[in-house]
Amino acid sequence: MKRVFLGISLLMIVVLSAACARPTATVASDNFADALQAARGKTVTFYGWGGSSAVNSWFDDIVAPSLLAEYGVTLRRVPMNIDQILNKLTAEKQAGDVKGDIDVIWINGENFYTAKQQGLLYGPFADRVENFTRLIDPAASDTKYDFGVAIGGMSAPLGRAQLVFMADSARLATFPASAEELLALARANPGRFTYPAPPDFTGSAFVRNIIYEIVGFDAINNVAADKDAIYDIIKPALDFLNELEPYLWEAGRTYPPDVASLDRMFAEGQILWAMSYTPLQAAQLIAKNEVPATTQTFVFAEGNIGNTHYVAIPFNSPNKDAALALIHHLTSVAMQTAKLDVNNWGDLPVLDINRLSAEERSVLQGVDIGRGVLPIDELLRRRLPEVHARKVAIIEELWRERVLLR
Amino acid sequence: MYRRFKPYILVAPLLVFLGATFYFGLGNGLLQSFGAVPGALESRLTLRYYREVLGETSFFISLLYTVYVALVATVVSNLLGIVGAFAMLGLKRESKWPKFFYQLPLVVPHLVVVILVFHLFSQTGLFSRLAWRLRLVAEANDFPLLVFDPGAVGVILVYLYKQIPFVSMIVFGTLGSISKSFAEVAYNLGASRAMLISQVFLPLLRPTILSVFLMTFTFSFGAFEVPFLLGSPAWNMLPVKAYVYYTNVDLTYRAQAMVVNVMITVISIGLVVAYSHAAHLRQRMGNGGDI
Repeated sequence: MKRVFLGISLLMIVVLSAACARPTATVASDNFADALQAARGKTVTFYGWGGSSAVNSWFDDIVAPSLLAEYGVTLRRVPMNIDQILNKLTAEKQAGDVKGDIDVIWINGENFYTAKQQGLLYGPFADRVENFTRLIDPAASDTKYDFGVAIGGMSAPLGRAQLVFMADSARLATFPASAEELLALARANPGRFTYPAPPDFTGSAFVRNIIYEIVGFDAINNVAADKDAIYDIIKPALDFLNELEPYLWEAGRTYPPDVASLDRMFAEGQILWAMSYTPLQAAQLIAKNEVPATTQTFVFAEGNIGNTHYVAIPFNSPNKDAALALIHHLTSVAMQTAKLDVNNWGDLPVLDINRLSAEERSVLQGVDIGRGVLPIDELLRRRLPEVHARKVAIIEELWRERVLLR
Repeated sequence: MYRRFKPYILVAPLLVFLGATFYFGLGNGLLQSFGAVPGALESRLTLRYYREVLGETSFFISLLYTVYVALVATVVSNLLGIVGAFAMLGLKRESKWPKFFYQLPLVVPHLVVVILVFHLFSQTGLFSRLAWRLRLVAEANDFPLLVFDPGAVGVILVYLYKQIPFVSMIVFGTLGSISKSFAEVAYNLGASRAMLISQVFLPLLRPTILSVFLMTFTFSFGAFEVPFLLGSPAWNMLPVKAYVYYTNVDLTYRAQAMVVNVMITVISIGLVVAYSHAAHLRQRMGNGGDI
């Protein structure tokens, strides 16, 4: 009996090691024109979050056909959450499986930090992409840092997002312009405000925004990424959230588990506000008739957190030339313009307006951003940077311990 | 020679498949729980992650909470399922439709039931709207929180929906195989219907009920997707706790995730071992013993 199992396990080892045979890695062409030439006729595989039909159809109906027409590259989009993508890449790295099947991933923040730290990314590549060097401001803080992590050409910006709040002007006469005003408003309307529980992405950004309001960006930005040190700094903000808690939905005994729940509660009229990390979302919701046409976007007077999302190339991408072609195309004026259009996606562009030709500029500025939203220049003016990705996880932990479970 | 090996050769494909997926995964998880994860802080296997996880009160709070949810779901579903099985016994043999509808939930995936429960029991769900219509609540926020709630009502409801028919089906199967003559003898000796159930049927059903109880308990103890989707953000059942560790930005937290998974596995296997031990004991004492 034992011998048979031994035989079977030996057989398994043989089968498994045969499956782990190592093919060689591909490298990208040095010259960008050569890369575009080599990419022709190839397929580029894009892995990214697929939870938004607007984003998906921007990729499938606008990016894919034009990429094929202009560069002869076929786009294959695989929807997958970034944590799973990184798990997959980590497993492939562990297995020593050099050739993967992902060419481009959609990434930022904590995940970029992890991927870079674990050596899951190929590069630096950004300065080899023509549109990146021509149209994007190398001095912009989000070209240099992603959530406080030095980028060093390991990813290229795709779009900009910003935390915004939304409320129905027919139901709420004044919008809170600060954390203190929010507290006063919640007091006057008990049970009508809440926010998604971190680690939900949007809820986590809201908690950081409150920290900026109460203790200031510099205080949290300058502190070391150490739990005790961060607690000392953000304690007044956590106290504020605890002071707010009894006036929240369900008296703050629990929180909506994610931003989708918050959206639904707002649409159903259970609560008076909603929030989104997609700054033009109000226009989309109004257009789809999911919220009243009197819905209006607002941000705090001191500004709201914004971040930039990027594309990167995995270390084991089988088709790096095609990956460069896709990233070049994604950062073109045409694609960035189409992305800004609220009928497609409504995501802020990453291009430096001063680097565009007069014609390109008028194309980009001519985009109709829809109703109920803030103008793009106001958003960019009231935009606060993100803190280092490692602090995000620590803040989420502290919120859980000191606010949720208090 | 060939005859001796034939059975092993026949089970080999399944064993290889199980080995490559289940046992390989289990072994890998066990290794990772001892610190063999990418980006680990130590190069040797260590017990430090067990100390870290088991040293936190939050682990035991999660454990107790998981036992609470699994126990409530199991006890209620087993009681109702057994009652249901006896109720089905009264049906005529040829009437198949009631049984069909009774067993329909078995083929509905858990995820679908999650959506069903959400749409029925959330604060803006069907029952909330009905209560509003009947002027029982003034607005949606007044309806009691039954999903994402600390009491895990939504999670338990999903398990009840799935487990009651399961328990009924299994218990009914055993009931059907019990000879009718037991009932006739009992009635002949002057037993009432209640006595028949409590003194004849239930003792005969005990092994079945015990195994069904353990099966449903282990499932609701270790299942992930239902508490993940309908659970409270503040109260994590163990599988959700493992997931939260696993998706931490810091990859060394995977060791902690695997520690939690190993603990779930150990408890589940412990229950199965305890059950087979009990079954073995009973067999040695003679089947049933009461009759």
